[in-house]
Amino acid sequence: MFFDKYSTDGFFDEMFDETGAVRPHYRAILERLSTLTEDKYELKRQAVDLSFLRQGITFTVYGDDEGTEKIFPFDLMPRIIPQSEWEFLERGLTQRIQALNMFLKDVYSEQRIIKEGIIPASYILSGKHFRREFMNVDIPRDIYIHICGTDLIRDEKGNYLVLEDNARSPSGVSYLLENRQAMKRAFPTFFPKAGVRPVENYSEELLNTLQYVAPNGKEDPVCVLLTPGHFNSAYFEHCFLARQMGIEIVEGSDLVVRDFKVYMRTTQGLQQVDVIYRRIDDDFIDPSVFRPDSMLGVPGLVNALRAGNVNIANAIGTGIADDKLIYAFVPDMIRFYMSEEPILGQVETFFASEEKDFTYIMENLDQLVVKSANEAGGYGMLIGPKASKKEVEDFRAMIKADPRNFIAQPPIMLSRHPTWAKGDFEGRHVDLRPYILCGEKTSIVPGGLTRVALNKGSLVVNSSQGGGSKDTWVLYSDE
Amino acid sequence: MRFRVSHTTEYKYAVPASESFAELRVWPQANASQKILSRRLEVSPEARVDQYVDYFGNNVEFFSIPYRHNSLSVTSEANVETCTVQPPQSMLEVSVGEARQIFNSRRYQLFEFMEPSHHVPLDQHKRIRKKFFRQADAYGEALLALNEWIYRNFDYKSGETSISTPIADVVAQRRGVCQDFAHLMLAILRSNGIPARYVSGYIEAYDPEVTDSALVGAAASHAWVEVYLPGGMWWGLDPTNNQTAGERHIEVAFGRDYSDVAPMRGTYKGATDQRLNVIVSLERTKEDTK
Repeated sequence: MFFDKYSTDGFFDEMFDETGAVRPHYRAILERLSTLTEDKYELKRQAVDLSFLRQGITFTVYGDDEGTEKIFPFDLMPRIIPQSEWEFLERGLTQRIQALNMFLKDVYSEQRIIKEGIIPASYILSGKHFRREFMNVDIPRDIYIHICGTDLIRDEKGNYLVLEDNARSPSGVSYLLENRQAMKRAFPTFFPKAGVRPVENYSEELLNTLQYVAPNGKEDPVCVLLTPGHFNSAYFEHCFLARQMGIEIVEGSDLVVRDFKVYMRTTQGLQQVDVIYRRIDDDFIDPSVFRPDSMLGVPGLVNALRAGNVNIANAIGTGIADDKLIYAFVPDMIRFYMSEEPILGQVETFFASEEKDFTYIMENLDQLVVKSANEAGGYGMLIGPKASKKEVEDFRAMIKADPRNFIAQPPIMLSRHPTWAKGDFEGRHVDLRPYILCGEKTSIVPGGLTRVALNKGSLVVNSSQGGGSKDTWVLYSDE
Repeated sequence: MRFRVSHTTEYKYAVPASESFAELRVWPQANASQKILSRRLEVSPEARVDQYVDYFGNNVEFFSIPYRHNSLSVTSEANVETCTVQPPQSMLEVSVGEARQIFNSRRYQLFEFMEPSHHVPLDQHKRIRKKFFRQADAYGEALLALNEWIYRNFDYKSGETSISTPIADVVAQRRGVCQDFAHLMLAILRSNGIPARYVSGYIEAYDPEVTDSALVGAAASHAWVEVYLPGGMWWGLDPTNNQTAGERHIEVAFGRDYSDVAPMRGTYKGATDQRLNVIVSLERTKEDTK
């Protein structure tokens, strides 16, 4: 039998409460698993892995010498969220993305939030992703972040906390969709009875969102997905989403700007493009404005945007909203723009650029999590309690050299979830990345990508750093 | 004074380019010290030119040429009337200490001109031991002293530095051109807590009415700095010529450093083999010339 030796070790466990009793919403899956033997479970697991490999559902690890293409490790044991908990998350995330969009509109026009002293000017104006080039550019329907991947974690009491808002070009949604397919194949009779809300309409909602933000409310707009190309770590996802939405996937060289309009080169000549779902960073999107050495972008695109002849999702300059310094002010934004109290909590943040915080960080460096303000994917991060003396000292030097670029947070003991580990289930730390679409309405695909730190005791869930994923089930009910 | 200024940038491609895109910042500013009497832009091959005002308040023109071409030529021509605007003495007499306090109370408006920027890191001129701004110094005098110090201690030498030459090299070699001196001066000013911005423009290098009157500038294209004065005025200082910016300076664009004001920024698709030619001419015109 599974779970005989399972222990929550004092962490918040998603499946079992502190007394070791199974939580109601996990009862059904526990029953199903109890009819399985280790061999049978292992067979299902191998079948799923093989299908991922066959379909080429892979990602790239930068800076790894042994073959960079890897399959994203998948753990068959699903993470389950009861209905009422999900409704709470939906409300909290909707509120948050609205505040972030209002913030971006403000910061690229009136800057009320600076003038009224809510956020110090220096934090915004020194932000690496604050794009002066986009001051006062009209954005269709005032939506800057169309697609957001917000990372949530749970503390030792099970409270959901926002860890970061990925407001630039969040990836991973294809894994969410593929994981679901895999689960359905692995549990063909159990799954339909489990009462799980579907996720399959994500691509349709994404297309609706893109169409809704076409310039001048144009009907039947032409949408394309702009990819940096097949060397990019998320190229699989770019192809996957374009195919699901039934839109063209293009590279920079497939697009051309004429008279401030963007056209796609097709076998039948040029076709005007209205909305670009871009998976290229701001820096590379238009070599005539940003990095002149970029071969990936479309020269002239920014001026076409300025002329209002095309729209891109997400807008340029959204990176200032997921700057880790600005993150600390999101609760204030919610109060300032919406006159509401934040529904979701977040992690306490110390600024290395503030003298008082700086001293505290320096004195407690080995007890804190330090993050670079503008890096993603778990790069540029120090987990003090787990780091070697040398790593701590290296970070100390880096923080001293560029304090604006670092924040520190107390380490949060992420919740744990039963995860397959050689013959039985053991607790592993997990987070959750729901995908939020902001178009005519805000919609959140029920669930999200649950990432799991597969190495025992590890808190880093990023796929590039030894993380895997799970299917996430949102139930129609609380049981 | 009235000037006719003409600024031509010409690219000749060894192999025809299939597309070109460019953003121009060559439209002289209209402000208290200069009036734009007329202005014209010519692009060859012909292209529709659009325009916007950038973050710093500069007029930007942009165009695309989406078909094959062997060369690209852009000419900006303007008739400008200039006058000298002297800052009130009171703004120059405050002490450096007082001035700093005022700047700190306006950090939001001045932030970008007090921080390091791409071409103006604040840690590369450490070899300069001289102390320029003491709390009790009169602000105006201290500024002029720095202006003069750069002029006296650095040689104007064209062709030895480029826009990518770091300030540290300029300091080590004690020579450079106007943009190097402007960047160096910005670095010294900003690291002393003084807001300052980079100005691109033109200078009348020779006074036609006076013999032996040469001012130094890179073929009439010039760069200097503007320093913020308590009271809200930007004061032009030209370290290349040990002068304050006057009637013979024509201001085109300003920003944190060169990268915000590059006269022409663009890309083209084609072979990398290209020849660039820039011709700037500036002539004094009679008062009645339109």
